[in-house]
Amino acid sequence: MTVIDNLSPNRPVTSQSVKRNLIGAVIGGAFGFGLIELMGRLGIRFKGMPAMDLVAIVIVIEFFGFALVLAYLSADRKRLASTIECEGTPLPASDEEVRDFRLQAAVLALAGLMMLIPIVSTQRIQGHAGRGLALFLATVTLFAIQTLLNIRLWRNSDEFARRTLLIVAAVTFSISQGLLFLTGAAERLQLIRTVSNWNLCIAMMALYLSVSVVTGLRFRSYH
Amino acid sequence: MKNRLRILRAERNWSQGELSLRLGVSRQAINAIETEKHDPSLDLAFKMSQLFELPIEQIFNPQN
Repeated sequence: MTVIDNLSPNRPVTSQSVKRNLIGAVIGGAFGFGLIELMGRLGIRFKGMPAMDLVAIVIVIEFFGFALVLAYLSADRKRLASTIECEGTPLPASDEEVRDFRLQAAVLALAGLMMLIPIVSTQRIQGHAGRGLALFLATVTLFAIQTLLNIRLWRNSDEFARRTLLIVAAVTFSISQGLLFLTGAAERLQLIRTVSNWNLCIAMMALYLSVSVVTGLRFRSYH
Repeated sequence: MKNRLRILRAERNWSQGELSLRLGVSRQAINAIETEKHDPSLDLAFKMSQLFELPIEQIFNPQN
C-alpha cells in the first residue's frame, strides 16, 4: 500500500450531511420568516413597498443569516475545525480562527443593520428632520465600526483569503461599473427614468453578495 | 498548478491544520493549494521547500 492509499479522502456527501443541510434549510427558513414577522411588528409595510426595498430586505436576511451561521460555527472549536478542514479528524479551531469567524459574523451583522435602518425608518421620519439626521449619524458610526473590523480582518488574513477577497472585489467592480455606465447612458438618452442612489446601492450589494457566495463555494473560503 | 503537497503531508502524518501551523497560513489555504485552486506565492513556496527539505520543482510541477 502506498502513502497515497493512506490519505484520508475528502469527506463525501453522506446522508448525514444531506440531513444537516436540510435541518439548516428549515432553520434558515424559520429565521427568515421570524425576521420578516419582526419587521412587520416594527411597522414595515411590505404591501406597496418598492421592489428594490424588498430586494434589500432579502439581502438583510441573508446578511443576518450568514452572521448567525458563522457565530454558531465559532461557538464550538471542533465544529468550526471540521467545517474548515476537509478531511480526517482536524485539530480544534485555534483562537485566531475563532476570532476571525466572529469578526466576519460581526461585519455581516453590521452590514445587515446598516441596510435595515433606512428601510425601517422611512415611514417614521416624515416631518421629523432631526430624526433623519440622528439615524444618519448612527449609520455613519456603524459604518466606521464596520470599516475598522474589515481592516482588522484584512490584516489577519493570509495570502489565500486576501486573494479571494480581491477576486470578489474585482468581479463586483467590473460588473458594477459596466452596469452603472449602461444605466447612466440609458438615462441620458431618456430611455429610462432616473435611478436613485439607494436602488443602485442595493443592486451593487446584491451583486456583491452573489459573487461572494459563488467565490466562497468555489474556493472553500469563508472570508 | 499540480503539486505533491498532499502526499508530502501524508508521508509526515500531518493534518492540514498541522501543516498550516508550520507554514503560518490558514487551513483553507492548504486545502486550496492541494486541490489546485490556489497557487502559493513565491514566499510560501520557499517556506514549503525549506519545511520539506526539497527543491520547489519537486513539490510543484507546472508542466502537468
